[in-house]
Amino acid sequence: MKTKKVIAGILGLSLMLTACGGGSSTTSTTSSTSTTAASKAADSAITIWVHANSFKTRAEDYAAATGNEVNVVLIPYDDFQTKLKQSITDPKTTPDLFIISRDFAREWVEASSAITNLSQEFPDDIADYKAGTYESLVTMGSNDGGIYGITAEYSPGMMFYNREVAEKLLGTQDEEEVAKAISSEEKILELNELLKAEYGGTIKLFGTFYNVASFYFNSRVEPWVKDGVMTVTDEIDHFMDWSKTVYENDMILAEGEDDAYFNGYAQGNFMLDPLPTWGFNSKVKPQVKDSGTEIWGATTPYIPYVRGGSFFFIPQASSNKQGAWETVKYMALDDDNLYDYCTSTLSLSSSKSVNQKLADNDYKEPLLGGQAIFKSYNAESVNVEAKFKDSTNTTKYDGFIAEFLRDIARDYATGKVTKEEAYKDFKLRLESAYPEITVEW
Amino acid sequence: MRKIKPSHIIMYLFLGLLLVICFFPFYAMIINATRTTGQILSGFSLVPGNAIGQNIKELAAKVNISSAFVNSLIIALGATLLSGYFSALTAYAFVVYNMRFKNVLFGIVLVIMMIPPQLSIIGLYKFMKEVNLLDNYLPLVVPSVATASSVFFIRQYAKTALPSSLIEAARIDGAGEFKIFNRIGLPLMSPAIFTMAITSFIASWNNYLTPLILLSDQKKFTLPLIIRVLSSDVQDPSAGAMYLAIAISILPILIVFFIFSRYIIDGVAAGGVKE
Repeated sequence: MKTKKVIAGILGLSLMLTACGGGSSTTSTTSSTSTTAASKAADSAITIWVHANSFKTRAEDYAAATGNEVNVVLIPYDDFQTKLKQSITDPKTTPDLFIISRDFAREWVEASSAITNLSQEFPDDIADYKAGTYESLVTMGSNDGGIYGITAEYSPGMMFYNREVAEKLLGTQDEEEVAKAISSEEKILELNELLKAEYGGTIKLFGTFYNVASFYFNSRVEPWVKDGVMTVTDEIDHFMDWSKTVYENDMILAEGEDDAYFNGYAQGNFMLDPLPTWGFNSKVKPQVKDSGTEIWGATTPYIPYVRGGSFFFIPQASSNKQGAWETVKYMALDDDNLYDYCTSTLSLSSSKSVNQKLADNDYKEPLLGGQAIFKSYNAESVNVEAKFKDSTNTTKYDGFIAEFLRDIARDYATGKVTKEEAYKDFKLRLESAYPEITVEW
Repeated sequence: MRKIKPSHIIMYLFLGLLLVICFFPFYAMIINATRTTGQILSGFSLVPGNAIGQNIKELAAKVNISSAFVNSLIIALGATLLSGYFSALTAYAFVVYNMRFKNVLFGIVLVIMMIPPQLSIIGLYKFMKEVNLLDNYLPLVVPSVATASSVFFIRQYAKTALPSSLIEAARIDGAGEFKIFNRIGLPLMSPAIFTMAITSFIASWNNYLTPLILLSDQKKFTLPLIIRVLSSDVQDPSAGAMYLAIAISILPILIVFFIFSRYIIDGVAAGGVKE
């Protein structure tokens, strides 16, 4: 019995020592891994982390086309940032490439010690990218003169509209005429009155409050938080007032993107929905394709905005940067691939020449009533580019800020709180979530 | 003929209503597994759709569901076997032996029971990184050896189920302690072991957080991770494929429950019986 106790004690002690003393052996393992990694050829297997299946498919296309081995890891969107932060600085655990939403892109661009400076590593290719893409995308992916993140997609915001309702209320479903009729908030209110008179409240003006809020939030040029201070700007104050107007005039069909909203696309139960270019493929098409409800079109929103899109980053700790870059070039910088991707998903690329080719081909989308949709996207991209070319408007705090702003706007709009109480509640919630931020108004 | 009382009718109606409420989410899930994404997002239906073939194709194109199923099965079965056996071993020791510091050790078990697993996940990740066991099933299976809640439950049951006279008799007959545990202790404690094994299987099968933190190789992903991947793809929503994946994922739990439900009932009732 005594011998067993001694053996058990030794085993427990050695287990503890393995955990504590693992650092030195890990360091030497890391060193040998780095040495080995440095001599890896560019065409050895690369690991890509993505959150969307569309990227997985394209990465697998790259593997099939080039014969290079690619390990694509699909990680849930909500946990993507956490998993990246836990793994990115260690060569053993880091992916060679990751593709992340625009909402988080700025945070990684500014984490320049963890991310490869593409301007230094691949200067010729980056020079070509800069020459062929939009300034706003270059600005978004740059820090201290270097480009750290590039994108394959440009996502100007559009306003999807119900052609049948437009025809009835305005006598036209032409996208330019509809854009004129919704070109200001006053005109929107007038349109709402016409809608109520015609349909008796059975058809609402907007699909969801969530998309209206996203529309206003994504029209900001300046980031919400600067130097640790979140200022409640005139824009935010105006959004609060507009929310009250929207609720008082009964202008929305659903709070969020729920069954009523999606069914609304199939049945034509609302008139307007602010969605970006990629919104058609993910939200509109699944509803209208089966039901055959080809009553939707896309036009210019009354405020230019940009929403979504994804950026490619190569971690500094990656042992196969060249291989990762070859994959990025295939997915994001090859004009033919970009063209094919855009035609299949009805989205806009980051390449001006590809977008011009898409517009010139005069493709007419049957599910959008035969609209020359790429021409419409291109036209809107001019407005968006003019507004956002020098803008870096996202921070890591934006997710919670948007959620809290929607909540207080809803409470204020429904009369539960005064504006002052709403701002105090917002300050309390945001400063609790991020103690390093101060909220001022 | 037994007289049917009004109270019986009310009772059966109430139970019927409870049955519908409990079964309805499963029915809705199975129905949605046969409908397209557009149909699911547009509203609810009691009638099955005809898109199951399409959903199967979509699911197969997006994720490797069979590999995830096998991964989950390996981890859940391994964790359940280890948890059941070693928890029973620990509980047996607490009941049968009068060792020094027994109460202190049991107190430590109780304290561990109260620690939420989320607290230890960071330490576990760092430890596994140091010993190069990330992207490995060992840290998902081996820690189940020490399941405090199972030890507690089985100990409570064993206090009434293990007669000391039987243990003494076995010792007198010359059986070693380990043999007594395996031949006498385990069979007598089996209702409690089965109860905790089922709970442990379900917990391990549904575990999302630990595999998310420890696994980065897609081939090793478990079913909860795969389902979350399907549900969180905002650009390419695949509600039909997601519901199909969920339906596939609950099959083993249903099988385990239907086969071993008798033991759950026995195990739950066991604590109420006094010798």
